[in-house]
Amino acid sequence: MKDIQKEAKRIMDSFMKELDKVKFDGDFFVHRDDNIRSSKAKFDETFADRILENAPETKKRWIQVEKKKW
Amino acid sequence: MGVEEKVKKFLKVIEEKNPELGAFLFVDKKGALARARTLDKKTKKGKLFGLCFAVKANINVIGMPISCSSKTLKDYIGTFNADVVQNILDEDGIILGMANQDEFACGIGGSGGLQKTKNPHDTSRVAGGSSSGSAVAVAAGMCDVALGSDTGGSIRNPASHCGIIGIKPSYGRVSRYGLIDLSMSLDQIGVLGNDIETVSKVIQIISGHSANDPTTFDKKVPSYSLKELQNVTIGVNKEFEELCTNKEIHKMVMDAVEKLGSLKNLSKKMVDLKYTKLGVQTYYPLVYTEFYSGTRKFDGRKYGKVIEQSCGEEVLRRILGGQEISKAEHDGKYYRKALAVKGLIKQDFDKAFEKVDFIVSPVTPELPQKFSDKLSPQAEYAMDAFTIPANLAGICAGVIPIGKLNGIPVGLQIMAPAFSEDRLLSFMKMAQEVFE
Repeated sequence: MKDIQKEAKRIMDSFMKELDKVKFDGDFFVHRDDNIRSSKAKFDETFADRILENAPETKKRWIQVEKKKW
Repeated sequence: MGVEEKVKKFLKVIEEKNPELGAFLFVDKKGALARARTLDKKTKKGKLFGLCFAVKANINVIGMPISCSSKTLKDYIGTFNADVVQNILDEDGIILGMANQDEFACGIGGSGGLQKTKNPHDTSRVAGGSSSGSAVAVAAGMCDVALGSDTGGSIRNPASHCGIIGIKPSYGRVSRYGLIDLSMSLDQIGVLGNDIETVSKVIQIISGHSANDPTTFDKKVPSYSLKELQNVTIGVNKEFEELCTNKEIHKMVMDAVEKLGSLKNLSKKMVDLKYTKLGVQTYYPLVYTEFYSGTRKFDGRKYGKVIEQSCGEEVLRRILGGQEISKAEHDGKYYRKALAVKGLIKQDFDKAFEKVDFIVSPVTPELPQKFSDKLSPQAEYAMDAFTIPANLAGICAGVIPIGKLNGIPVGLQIMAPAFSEDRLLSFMKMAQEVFE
């Protein structure tokens, strides 16, 4: 399996070498760093309390409910 | 001849020839005969009435083994009909059985993981692939017509090697719902047959928008009536000469282009498709990545066996290669670079089709290899050099036989702009008459 993996990698590398010779007029690439979505919203610390309050039955900080009951 | 009689005739041919040629993996003798008897009683006949089909083993048909010619799915039975199959059945077609192929449509040898398929013109040679069984079933007279799938030439390659007609419609023209994918952005279901009229009839029925496949275009399907075209300009690309390693094949194709000159009002122009020579290098990173992603469902939990533990070498190569180039540390560079070049290849074709109506080329750079020849993966990949560009550009393309070289059929590829299957089929009809 390792040999096949190495061979596949070698083939891909040789293909990529050919593709690297192509010069592009525009920028075709999506830059990952510029495209990571960061949320501006602050962490809602009351969220867990509100969920627990809404649950039919609780035990300490756990929700106790049968399937399809809630 | 009644439909039952016709089905019996085909079943007899299958019984005689299939053990040697290996076109069918499974023949639904009982089901086909029962359906034939029902059809014989019908008064209102569908558009494909009594037409007998072989279906590639990666297209779902209820109750038939959809193995993709792999040990992974050897015992998997179809639980629904692919859109194309349902279209055919709705118009009174008959499915005779499932045709062999390269395992998961990966390859050009055509033998898959379950049985060998031989070229009917020379049984020491492969039939081409990956839709090998579909092509052989048609060429050997085991059915009227066959369905195949074409990701980088899998219909056109075996059609050429077996001396029949093959059509890969434009991407989005025919629903892929029910096709077990090799590479979802490139796969297309198409048709293999002996004559343009039958092939056109089938393409007409299977074309069009489907709610099951969001990649199908909601664009009206014109009538494929095979009308004669006027003032046709065909394009020839000089890059193709370099890619055609067997110069005799290239000469045959060029002679065929000259012969086409005998058609009324036909002119020829050179076109520039400079990026097509990077077709193979562009295609495989895309296929490796999409195939790796598509095969994650074969983990042995829902159906079949764990693919990595049960598949053949080429399938494993593509999975491991896809796994490698999908690694986070590469940041998708292989896939994105290939997509960018794919865009350039498409632009090449768009520009060329502003000047010409059709572009012609060889189908393969070599004759089908002998079973005794062991080709390297890269040598196998190079066999797709002429057919891959049509998939990358999303256009339609067909193959017609133009003669034989050392007793082996050689085909001519005709490429046309996306969604111009009507004109492509008409031109193929005109061209076929020249070579008959």
